[in-house]
Amino acid sequence: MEINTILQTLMFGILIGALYGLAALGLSLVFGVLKILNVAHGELLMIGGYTSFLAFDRLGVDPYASLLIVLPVLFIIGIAMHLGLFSRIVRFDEEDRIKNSLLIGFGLTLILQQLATRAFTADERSITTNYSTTSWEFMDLRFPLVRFSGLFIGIVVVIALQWFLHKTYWGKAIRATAEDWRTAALAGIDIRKMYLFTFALGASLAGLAGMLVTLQGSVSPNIGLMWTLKALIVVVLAGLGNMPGTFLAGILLGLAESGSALAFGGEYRELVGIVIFLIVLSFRPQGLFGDSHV
Amino acid sequence: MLRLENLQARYGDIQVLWGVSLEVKEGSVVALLGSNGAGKTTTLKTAMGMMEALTGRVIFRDEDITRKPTHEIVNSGLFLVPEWRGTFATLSVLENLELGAFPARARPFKDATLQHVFEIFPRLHERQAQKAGTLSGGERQMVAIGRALMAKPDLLILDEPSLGLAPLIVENTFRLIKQLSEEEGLTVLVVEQNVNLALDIADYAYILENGSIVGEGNSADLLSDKRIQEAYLGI
Repeated sequence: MEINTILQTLMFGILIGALYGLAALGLSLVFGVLKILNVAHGELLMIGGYTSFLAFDRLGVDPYASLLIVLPVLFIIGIAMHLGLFSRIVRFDEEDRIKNSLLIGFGLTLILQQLATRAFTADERSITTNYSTTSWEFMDLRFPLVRFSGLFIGIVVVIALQWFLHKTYWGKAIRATAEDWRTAALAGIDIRKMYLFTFALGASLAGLAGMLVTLQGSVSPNIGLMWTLKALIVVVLAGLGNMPGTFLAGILLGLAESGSALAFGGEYRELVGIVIFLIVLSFRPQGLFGDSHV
Repeated sequence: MLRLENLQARYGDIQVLWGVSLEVKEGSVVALLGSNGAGKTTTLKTAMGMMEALTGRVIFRDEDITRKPTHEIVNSGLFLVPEWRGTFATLSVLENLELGAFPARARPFKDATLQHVFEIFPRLHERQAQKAGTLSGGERQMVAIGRALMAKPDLLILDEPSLGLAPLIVENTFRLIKQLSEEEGLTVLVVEQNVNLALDIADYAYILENGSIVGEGNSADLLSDKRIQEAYLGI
């Protein structure tokens, strides 16, 4: 095999991995703070994809500019979803929260997929702009613009999240709530507000990933499950409570998948993620970058 | 300043509080004494809105706060340092202290109070960048009390401040509580199993047994009470 093919494949692995990482950020944040596992996270990503598709298709809005629509729309959907469904279970103990959130999440998954099929049909939709195929060549390697934008946006988002969580009052309050909500309440923090905001922020992050997925590939009603799975693998790989670690773990998963495609052929790509998931879960259950106490 | 009126509470089917009434007057140090399982922590949880009161009322500064959410109670000036201390292990010492000033009432004074806390606990100033989870038990106690002071409380409640700490640190803690009360006029409700220690700094004390107040009085009177001596002081 040519060295160029290998490099190019691995590079695409990193770029798809950036999307895995972005998809996982919101899931990790919500899981870490609210202790609920929202398996409909992939559906939020799908809704984000359709929102940017509609903005582009109907209104002619540039996909990157459509983030000004996608992020607030998903934020509001997140608020509605939390107030209507998940806020009822965050009063429970942590174990019961996870079990109940799984039930709610799977139900939501089915409903949202059906609604999306009704609204947009099962066809794959994509966003094709005049820069969709733009790419740079360097040393016989191809650097496609829209794919690199995912990596770039991911890095910017991680830095912004890190700043927010560590430098602002709300961020610190959210981290305190994640560690121990009882003590956080005793410190005067309105934990219900923190839960609501964190969930909505997680939904916005899913929407952002959805825009990039649609721009780099396509969106269809059933992509949610695959993205929830990828995000879940990344969260297990990274461990909770570490945003840069989560993003990095996404890239590692992308690299591992493309590496395995090179070594064993493309058929085993999906298996690699599951195998890594099991290995990490057995030998390092707190994840590669997680705090061991979580 | 704080009045509990006939509080009853239960965990599931098991009732733990059977009508607890007590009063903490402004500027005083009051002790709530009782053995393990008497319902001391439950009383505090109910007062702080972390547990639902079946009946009874919690009155703070002439306002009924019985059904208020915890964060609002904190913002009205009542602060509890829980039994488990309540320091955030994954946050730095400085972040822990800053979070103390999260309530709106305390935030404008954040910088000044922080200086004050560092004067009281120079050790915390040295360790401000360290994660609270890496501190010793005594240092975590300092963070817990420091964070409470950051909230600018009118009434500070301490749940078992002596729990799990070396005698010297316990002694320092109680001396500090006395000092805060005398020099800064802080009103304190301290919950303790260690009756000697608590009566030493308290003006007035209540004795809780099986979820009911079974005795109360000035600390000096209680110390000389035969019944109390036998039951709690091991004399």
